[in-house]
Amino acid sequence: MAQERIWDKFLTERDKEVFKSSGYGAIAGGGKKPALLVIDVNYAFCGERREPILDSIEKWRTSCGEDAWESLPHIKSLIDKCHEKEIPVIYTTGTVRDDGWDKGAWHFKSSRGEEDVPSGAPDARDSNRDGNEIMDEIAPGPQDIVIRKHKPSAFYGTPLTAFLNDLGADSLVVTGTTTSGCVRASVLDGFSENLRITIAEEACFDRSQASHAINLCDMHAKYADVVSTQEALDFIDTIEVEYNLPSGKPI
Amino acid sequence: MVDRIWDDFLTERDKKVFEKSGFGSEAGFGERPALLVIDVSYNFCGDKREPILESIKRFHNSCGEYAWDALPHIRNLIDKCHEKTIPVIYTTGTVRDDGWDSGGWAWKNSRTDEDVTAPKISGFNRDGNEIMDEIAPSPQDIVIYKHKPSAFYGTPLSGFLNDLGADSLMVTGTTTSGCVRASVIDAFSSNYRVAVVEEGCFDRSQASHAINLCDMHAKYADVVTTGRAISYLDSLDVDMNVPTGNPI
Repeated sequence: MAQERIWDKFLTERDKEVFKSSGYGAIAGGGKKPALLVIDVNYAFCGERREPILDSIEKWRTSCGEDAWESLPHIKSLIDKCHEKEIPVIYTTGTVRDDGWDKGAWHFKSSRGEEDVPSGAPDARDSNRDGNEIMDEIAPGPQDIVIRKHKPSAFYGTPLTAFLNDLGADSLVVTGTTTSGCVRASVLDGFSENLRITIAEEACFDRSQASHAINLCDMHAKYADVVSTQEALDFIDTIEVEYNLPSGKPI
Repeated sequence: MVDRIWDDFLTERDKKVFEKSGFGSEAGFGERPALLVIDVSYNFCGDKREPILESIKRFHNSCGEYAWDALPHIRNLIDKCHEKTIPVIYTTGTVRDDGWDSGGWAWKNSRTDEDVTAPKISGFNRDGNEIMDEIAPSPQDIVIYKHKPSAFYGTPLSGFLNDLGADSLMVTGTTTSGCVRASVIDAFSSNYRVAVVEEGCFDRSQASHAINLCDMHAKYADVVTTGRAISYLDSLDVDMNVPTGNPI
C-alpha cells in the first residue's frame, strides 16, 4: 500500500513487512444497507468546551480534549448525510446508577472511577451536567435511535442486534469514541455478527495518540475498512434503499 | 514506575494522559481463576521455530519466533494449574472444509482460503487449528472450538465458567491484538477479573502486541509477568468443579 496511513509511524519495519505478506488489510467493501453508529460522543469524552486534553481531563477524566472537538464536524456531516438519505442513525452512550453499583469491572482499573456517576465531580466542572449526555453539537433527532449501554461494546447487553435485524441493515459505518475502547469493542462484535464495517477515520477519537493509531491499524487489518470521512460520505451517497426507520412521531 | 513494553510506542503526551486520567489501576487477581489458552495452534505458531517472515510463507497467520518464545511460559502455567487443580481452558478455531463459515474473516484477508481444515500447506499434513503438541490438552482440560475472535462469542464459555464457579481469568495465547484482546473485552464486560500474562501472549505485529497490552492494562485487565502469575497460582487453595477426564 503506497498511501501513508496514520499508523505507519507507530509500526516497526518488521511489522510493515509482516502485514504486507500475511494477507491482512484486504478491502471488505461497504455493504448494501448500512446504519450509522455514533459511539459515546458525550460530555464525559469531549468535555464541555474545546480545551487541551491535559486541562480537559482534570474536569472530565475520560475526556479526549481537542481531538474530540476536531471530530465533531466530521460526525455531524455523516449524520446530516444519513438523515438526507434516510439511513438509520444509532447513537450509544453510557448509563450508570447514582450509587455506582452497576459499574462492575470499570471499578477495577480506575482510580477516578467514582467521578463517572451522573452527579459526578461538579466542583471541578463548569456545570452539573451528566457526562453521559450526548453533545449538543450532534444531538439525536426524534427519528434517531439511542442505545444506553453499560459495557464497551454497543452490542453487549443491548438490543442493537435486534434493531439491526429489524432495520434490515447488513453493515455499519462507525464513528465516535474511544477508538481503542468502545469503538474497537463494537467493531469487533459487529465483525463477529458478519456485518461489513466501515470506520470513518477523522470521525473517531481517543485520548491516546498511539492507541488511536494502532487500534485503527488492527481494525483495518482484520475487521473493518478504515476510510476518510469523504470516502464514507461518497459511499453513503450511493445508497438507495428503504429501511424500516423509526418515524420519530409519538403514536 | 517500571518500564513497560508499550512505553517505546507511546507519545510523550500519551504518557501524561494515562497518568492523569486514572486508568491502569491494579484490579487484582480473583479468588477462583481459570486459565485460558487462546488459539495456540499450528496456524499461529508454524510447525517449527522460524523467523516470522519465513514462517508466514507457509502459515499466513504465524507469529514466528514470538510464538515459540511464549510456549514454555504457557507450559509452566498449565503445569502449575494442573498441580493446583485449577481449570485449564483451551480455545482454537474451527472452519468447514468449504469455508462457508469463515464469514467476515474472508473479507479482510486475501489468504483466507488457506485456512480450511484440509491441509493446504506444503510439508504439513495436520489441521492448522490443532493445538501445539508442546502444550497439548490433557483429558481433564476443556477445549472450546470457536468461529470468531472472542472465546465467548457463540461458545459455551460463560456457562462453563459459571459451572466451575470461576470469578476470574488468567489469559495467555494469541494474537494479543486479536483473539486475546477480544476475549479480554468480553470477560471484562461479564465482570470477571482478568490477568493477562505478558510473556504468555504473542502477536505477529510488534506494535500491535505492545499497544494492545497497554490498552488492556489501562482499561480491562492487569498485565502481569509469568513469575507473578505463578506465585499467585501457588498461593491458591481452592476446590473447583473441574472435569475428571475419566469417561463415565
